[in-house]
Amino acid sequence: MPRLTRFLGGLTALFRRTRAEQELDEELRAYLAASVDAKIEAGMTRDDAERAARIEFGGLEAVKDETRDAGWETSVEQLWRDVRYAARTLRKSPAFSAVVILTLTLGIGANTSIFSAVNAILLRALPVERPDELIALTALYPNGPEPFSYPAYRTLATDGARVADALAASTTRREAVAIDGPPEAVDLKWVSGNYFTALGVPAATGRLLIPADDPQPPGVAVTAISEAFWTRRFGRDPAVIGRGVRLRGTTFVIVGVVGRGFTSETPGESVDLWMPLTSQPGAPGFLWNGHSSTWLRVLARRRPGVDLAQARAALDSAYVRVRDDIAAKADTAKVRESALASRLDVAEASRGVSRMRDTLATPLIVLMAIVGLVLLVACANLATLMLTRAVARRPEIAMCLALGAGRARLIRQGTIEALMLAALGGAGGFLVAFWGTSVIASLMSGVLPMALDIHPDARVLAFAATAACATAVFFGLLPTLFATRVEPHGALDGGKRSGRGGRGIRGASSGSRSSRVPFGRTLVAIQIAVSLVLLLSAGLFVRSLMNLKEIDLGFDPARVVLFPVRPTVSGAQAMPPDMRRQLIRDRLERAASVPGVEAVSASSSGLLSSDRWRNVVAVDGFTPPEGVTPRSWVNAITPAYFDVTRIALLRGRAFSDGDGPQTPKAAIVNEAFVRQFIGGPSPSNAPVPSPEASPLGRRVSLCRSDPCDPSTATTMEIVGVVENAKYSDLREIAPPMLYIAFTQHTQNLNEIQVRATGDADVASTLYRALAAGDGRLAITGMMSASERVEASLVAPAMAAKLSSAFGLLALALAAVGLSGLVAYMTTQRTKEIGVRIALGATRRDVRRLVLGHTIRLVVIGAVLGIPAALAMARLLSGLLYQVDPYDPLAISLSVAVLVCVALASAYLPTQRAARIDPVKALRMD
Amino acid sequence: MAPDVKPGGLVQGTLHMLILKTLTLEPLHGFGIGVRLEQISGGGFQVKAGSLFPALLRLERDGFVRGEWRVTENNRRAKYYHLTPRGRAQLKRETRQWESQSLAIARIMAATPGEL
Repeated sequence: MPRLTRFLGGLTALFRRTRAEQELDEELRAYLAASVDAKIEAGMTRDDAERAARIEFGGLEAVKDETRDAGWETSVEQLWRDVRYAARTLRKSPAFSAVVILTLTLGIGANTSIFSAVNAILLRALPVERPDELIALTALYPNGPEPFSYPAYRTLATDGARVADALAASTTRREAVAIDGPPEAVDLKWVSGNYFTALGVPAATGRLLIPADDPQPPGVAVTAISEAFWTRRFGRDPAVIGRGVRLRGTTFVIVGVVGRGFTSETPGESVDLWMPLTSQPGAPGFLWNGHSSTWLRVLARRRPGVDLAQARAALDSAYVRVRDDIAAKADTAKVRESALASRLDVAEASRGVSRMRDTLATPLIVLMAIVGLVLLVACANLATLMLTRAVARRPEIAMCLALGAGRARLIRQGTIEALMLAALGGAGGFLVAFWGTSVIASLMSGVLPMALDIHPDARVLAFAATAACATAVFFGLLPTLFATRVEPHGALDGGKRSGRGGRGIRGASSGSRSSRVPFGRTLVAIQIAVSLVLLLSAGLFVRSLMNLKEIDLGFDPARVVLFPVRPTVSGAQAMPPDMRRQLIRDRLERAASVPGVEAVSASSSGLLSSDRWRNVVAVDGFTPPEGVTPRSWVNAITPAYFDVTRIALLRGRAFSDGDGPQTPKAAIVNEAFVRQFIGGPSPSNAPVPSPEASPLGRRVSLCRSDPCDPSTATTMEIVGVVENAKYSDLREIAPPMLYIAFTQHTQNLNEIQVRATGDADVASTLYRALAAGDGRLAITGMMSASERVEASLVAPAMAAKLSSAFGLLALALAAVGLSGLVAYMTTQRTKEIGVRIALGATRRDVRRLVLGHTIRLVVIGAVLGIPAALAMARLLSGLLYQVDPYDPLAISLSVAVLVCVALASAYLPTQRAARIDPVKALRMD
Repeated sequence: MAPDVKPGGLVQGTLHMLILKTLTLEPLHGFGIGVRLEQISGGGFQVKAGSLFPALLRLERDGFVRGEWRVTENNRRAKYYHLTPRGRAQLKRETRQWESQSLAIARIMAATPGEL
C-alpha cells in the first residue's frame, strides 16, 4: 500500500508539476515568515530577524531540491531531460547520427534476417496445442536411424497407449490425382487417423481425419487438405467439402481443411493432402504384415502428467517387443543381428521432426557467426567514431564535471544517447529483416522448402532489440566510460600543456602517443582481424563453389528438359508391365514428334534426383571379401538414354530396340563398376582380375536376397561400358552403376528426358504434347537439367555469395575505420609533424612515419586474425568441397587483399600529412 | 534505513518518528513542528528546513500525514500536517521498536566492567 500511494503521489506531482512547485514554494515561504515572526516576538528587529531566519534556513533553492529529491519522480524527470538533451545533440550533428543509424540498421538488419531463418528452422515450435508434450520416436540401428514398419508402429501405439498417444506419418510423396479433370501433381502424406487429434491441430473448415477413419477396409475413403492447397486449387471455396479426389482408382472425399497455419509435422515440408494410411489403394500385403517395409515416422503426445523419462521407459519396453518380432521374422542372420542391436530413441519434439534441421544447422550457425562478426566490425567502427567525438567533446565534459555534474550522470547521458541511436538502428534493422528474409528465401530456394515461413515474429523482434542494446553498450557505453575519466582542470587547460602529468587530454598526450585515441587502435586492430576471418571464409567458400562448378558431371545438361512422370493407377492388374512400357513408349513418341527435339529417353531414377535404387549384385569372377555384400546403384533406362544425356559409351554397345523381353538380358555398367568388380584395384584378399579381362560378355546378377541366391537372381550379360556420371549428388565420387534395359525389367520409369536440337525454347510445347497423353500416366513437373544441376549447387552458391558480400562489407567498414583513425591521428599530430619538417624531415620521412602506424596496426590485426581465421576455417571444413581449410592460396590472398586495402585507405591521410606546411602547423592554436 | 548520523546527533529515520509524535496532539505547520521538537527536547534538536521538508514529503507520500492549507494565528496561510490513522498505527509500531532498541542499548551501556 505505501508503495502504491508513493507511486501515485509521484505521478500526481509529475503531471501537476507547476502546481506542486508553487505549493512547495509557498510552504517554504510560510516557514520563513513564521520563523521571522518568532524571532521578532523574541525581541529582534525585523532586519535582524530576517537575516537570522535566512541563515538558519539555508538556500531556498537547495531546500527545494532536497525536498523534490525525496520523491521518485525527479529521476524520471531527469531521464526525460536526458532524453531530450540526447535528441538535441543528435539533431545537431545529423551526418554523424545518420551514419551511425544507417550502419546499425544494416548490421542489425543482416543479423535479424539470418536469425529469422535460424528461428524458423532451428527454434520455432510447431503450431499445435502444447507443443512441449510432443515426442519423436526413432529406431536407432547400428547404421543409423530407420523409420518404422506399420506393425512396429501399431505395437508402439498400443503398448505405449498408457503414456502417450502415438501417431504415424509417411514422408510426403508426389502423386498424381484427378479432381474432376486431368491428372495433376500433388504432395500427399499418409497418416494414422489420430494424426491431427494427437497433434492438436484444428480444422479451418469441416473436420480433419479422426481415429474412426482408420479401420480397414474403410467405408468411405476421406482426405483432409492443406489451407495452401485449398487456396491454390479451390480459391478457398467452402463448397470444397464433399468433393472427390481420385487417386489410383479410389475416390477420397474431402472432409476438411487444416487450420492454424499447420503445414506438416516436419517443418518446411509442404503437404497438399493428408490421407489415412490404411486407405492406400493397391497397397501390397507386406505393408501391413512384417517389417520389410519401413516407411513411417512416429511422433507421440505424452499423456498429462507423464514426463519424458516415464514415456521413454514405457516405450522402450514396447520397443523390445517390436525388436524381438523383427528378429523372429528376419530372413537372414544379418537382419536379425542388426534388429537386436537397435534401440529406441525418444526425444523431445516440440519443433517437430526435421532432417532439414540437421543438414542446415551448421551452415546456418556459420552464417549467423559471419553476420555477427560483421556487426562487431560495424560496432567497432561506431565506437571509434564515438571516441573521436568524445575526445572532441572533452572540454565540454570537463566543464560539466567542474560545474558539479556527477560522473554517473554523464555516463547515463552518454548511454542514453547511444541507446537512442541503437533503438533507431534496431527498429530500422527489424524493418530491413522483413525485406531481408525474402532475399534469403529467394537465395535459398531449392534448399529451403517453399512452405517454410521465415518471416520475423516476436522472437525475432526480441532478438533485434537485444542486438540493439548490446551494440549500444559496445559502441556507446565504453567510449563514454573513457571520455568521462577526465580531471576538469587538465581538460580545461585547453591548448596549454599541463605538464604536470595530469590525466587531462593534453597532459596525457605528452606521455604516450597511443592514448590520444584511447583504444581506437585496439578497435581498428580488431576490425582488421575480424575482416581477415571473414575474407578467408569467403575465399574458402568461393574456392569450394569453383571446384563444384568444375566437376565433371559425366553428362551434358545443356538443352535437356526433364519431366517427372507418375502412374495414376496402381496394382499389377490395372497396369501390367507391358502396358506401362507401352504408355512410356507412347509418351516418348509424342515428345519425339515435337519439332526441335533431338532425342528422347526415360529412366527409373531421374538425373541427379534423390529417388534412387541400390541393389545387391553378383558379378562372375568377383569374390567379395568376407562380410562385404557387393552392391551397385541400378537404373532402368530406354535405349536412347545415353544419346540424350551424352554419357559417353567407352566399349561395346548401348541398348537398342532389339533388347526385348525375349532376347538375352543385357546390362551396361560404368567405369566405377568395372574398376570395383571386374578390373583394377580390388580389396587385398580378393582375387586380382587380370588387367586384360574384358568386362564385355561378363555375367552380372541382380539379387533378391542378401547374400545372393542365384536361383532367384536375374542374370544379365554386360554389353557395354559407359563413362562415370554423377548420379544423385555432385559431391560424391561416381559409384558403381548398373544400367538395365527397361524392356527386360518391371521397374516404373519415373522421368522422361528430352534433348532439344537448338536453343529454341521447346519446353512448353513439349509439356503440352506430353500432358495430352493417356491419363494413366501423369506428368508431375518440368525442369531443365541445368536447373537441376544449379539447384544442387544452391547451398554452396549461397554460402559463397553471402560470405563474399559480408566479407567485403566488413573489409569496407574496416577500411573506413582505419582511414578515419589515421586521419584523426595525423590531425592530432599536425604540430609535431610541422616541427619535424621544419627540422629537416623530408616528405618521405613523414610518409614513412604515418604508414608505419598503419602497417603496425595491420600486423597486429593479422597476428590476431590469422589464428581466428584458421579456427573458423576448421569449423567450415565440413561445408567445403575439395578445399583444404588451410588452403594456402586462400590464406595468402585474403591477407594480400587486406594489406592492399589497408594501405589504400591510409593513402589519403598519409598524403595530407606529407603536405603539411610547417609554418601553418606551428602557428596552430 | 541506514543509521546516518546528522549534525545534531539525530539518527536518520528517527526524525520521521519524532515528527509523527509531535503531531499526535494537534496539527502543526512545518515551522511549528520544528519549534515543537526544539521545545520538547529542551533545545537538543534543531531540525533544519532541508531535513524537515523532505521528511514531510515522504511521510505524506506514505500516507502517514496529510497536509492542509489553513490560516495561522498570525493571519498567514500555512500548510498544517495532521496524523492519519495509518500514521498513528505507524507511530505505535515505531515507538515499540524504539523502546526495545533503546532498552537493549541502555542495558549494554549500563553494563559494569564485570559484566563485559
